[in-house]
Amino acid sequence: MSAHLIRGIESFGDFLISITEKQSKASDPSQYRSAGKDSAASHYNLHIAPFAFEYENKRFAAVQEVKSRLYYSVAAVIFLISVFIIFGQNAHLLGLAEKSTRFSGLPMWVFIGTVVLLGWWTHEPARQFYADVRGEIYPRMFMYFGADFKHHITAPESITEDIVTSKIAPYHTYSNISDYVTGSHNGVGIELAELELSRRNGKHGTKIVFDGLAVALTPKRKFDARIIIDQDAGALMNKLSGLLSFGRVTLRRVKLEDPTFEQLFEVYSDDQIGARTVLTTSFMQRMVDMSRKHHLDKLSCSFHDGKILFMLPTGVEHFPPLTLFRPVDLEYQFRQIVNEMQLVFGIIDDLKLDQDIGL
Amino acid sequence: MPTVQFKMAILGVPEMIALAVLAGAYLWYMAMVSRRNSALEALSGIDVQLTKRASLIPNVLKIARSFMNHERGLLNEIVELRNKVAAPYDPKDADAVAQHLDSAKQLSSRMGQFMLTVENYPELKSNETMVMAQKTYNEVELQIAAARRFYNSAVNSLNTSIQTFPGNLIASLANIEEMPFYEADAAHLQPVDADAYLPA
Repeated sequence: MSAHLIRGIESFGDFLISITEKQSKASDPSQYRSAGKDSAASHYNLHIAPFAFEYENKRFAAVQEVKSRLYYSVAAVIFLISVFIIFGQNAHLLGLAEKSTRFSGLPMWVFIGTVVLLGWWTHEPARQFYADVRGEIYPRMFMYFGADFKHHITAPESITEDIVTSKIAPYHTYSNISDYVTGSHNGVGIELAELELSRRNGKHGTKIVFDGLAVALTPKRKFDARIIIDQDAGALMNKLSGLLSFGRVTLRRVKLEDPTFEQLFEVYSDDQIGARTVLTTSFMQRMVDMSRKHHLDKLSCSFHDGKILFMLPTGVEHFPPLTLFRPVDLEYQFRQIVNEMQLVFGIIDDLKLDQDIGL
Repeated sequence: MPTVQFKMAILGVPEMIALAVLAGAYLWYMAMVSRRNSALEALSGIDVQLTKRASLIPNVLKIARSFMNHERGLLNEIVELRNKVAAPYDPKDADAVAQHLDSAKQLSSRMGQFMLTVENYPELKSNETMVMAQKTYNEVELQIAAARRFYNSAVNSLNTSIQTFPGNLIASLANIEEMPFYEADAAHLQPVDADAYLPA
């Protein structure tokens, strides 16, 4: 198993070196980092790979612990059931009741409570293991992007509120936001979180309406206007959505000059001049180029309270749930994180959000 | 028991066509009024920015006067144009609007010339107040450019509805006039003579 793991790590190292070389002229991750910092490959080999062994050992230990607790729990449950059956059937012989009793009432609740407790006790090593991996490995991964990058398992309420007030989120009844990351790139504040929005579909079902990343950027240049850039849905649908969007009553459509931009996006703002100060002709061109370059066909964003909020429907699980029954796939996770951060840095660079010269 | 008979007034085809034409004309008229109001709103947006610039110019000139003794002509011209732009005008009069925007354009051109001239005065160029004033001026110019885009977009929409049949008939009956565009300063469209900026 260890040899297999080492081979995996080596192959991932090779993969990272190859992508680093391939992208050296185009979008090398190191171009986003200050000079002298590790490349993705060497960072992985130095800071993450050594822990792969440690975590694999921890996983084995956790599996063993869960297994032994499971045996004890199953034995305890069988014992409890036997006791209830024996005592229930012979209650009248033991003088506990006039006739044999059924397995219900207080004994049943005691049984259920015990099973729940045993379940929690059995799962505890796994939970501890997941918390360790998320709490120790993700910070090591994000270290690569700078000392100010921090990963948090839960996202604060503020980012959910930003999404709701931004009005770019599709109609939803449930939201699940996790894996909150903060940091900065060339002075631009970055907050991102994995987001899944869903709504009721029929009596019991739900339908996922958004699956991707919510990214909030704080550019150097300040702006007062509230702007929403949404996907273009065609003349009729734009008109209808403008009429039906109650939240956008105070926002008016901003008709812009760039025909390509107008084909792709629909802009609403509460300040026609302020919106045009932000959406200069060069900025519009950069938006078009950026959405094409990163294949973000369904990009929508909002400028509000000095922040630019992007909803990126990547459809990829950037922080996949861990499982005890497979090796911890740090290769895949680090690769996903590098890709996603490249996308965010690319947006900042392409839109020149790090410059204080007008957006 | 008395019986009351109701007669349904049924419209004939010619009446229905006339009604549809009238309704269409009214809708067109409403759209034109809405577009004119939008253009006037955009014009007032330009005026807000022009007022900002007008109140900034005296401070800039005050600093410049002590350094730029040889540029009196240019500075006086700027003052004159600034007063012209700040003067009241009738926004519903297309000629008055055209004159107002033309003055604003000329002022923009002279201020651009002034900012270039500042480059010849190193002391003035490095003066802290001047640096701040230039930065604010550039900000205001950005706002003016954005306001101009909004105005031109609104005017384009209005003028198109006036020039298209039956808009031209409705506009002449309702006395709705086309509005002038606020074009970019012609100096910005001229090709740049690089030799003038390069050392000999």
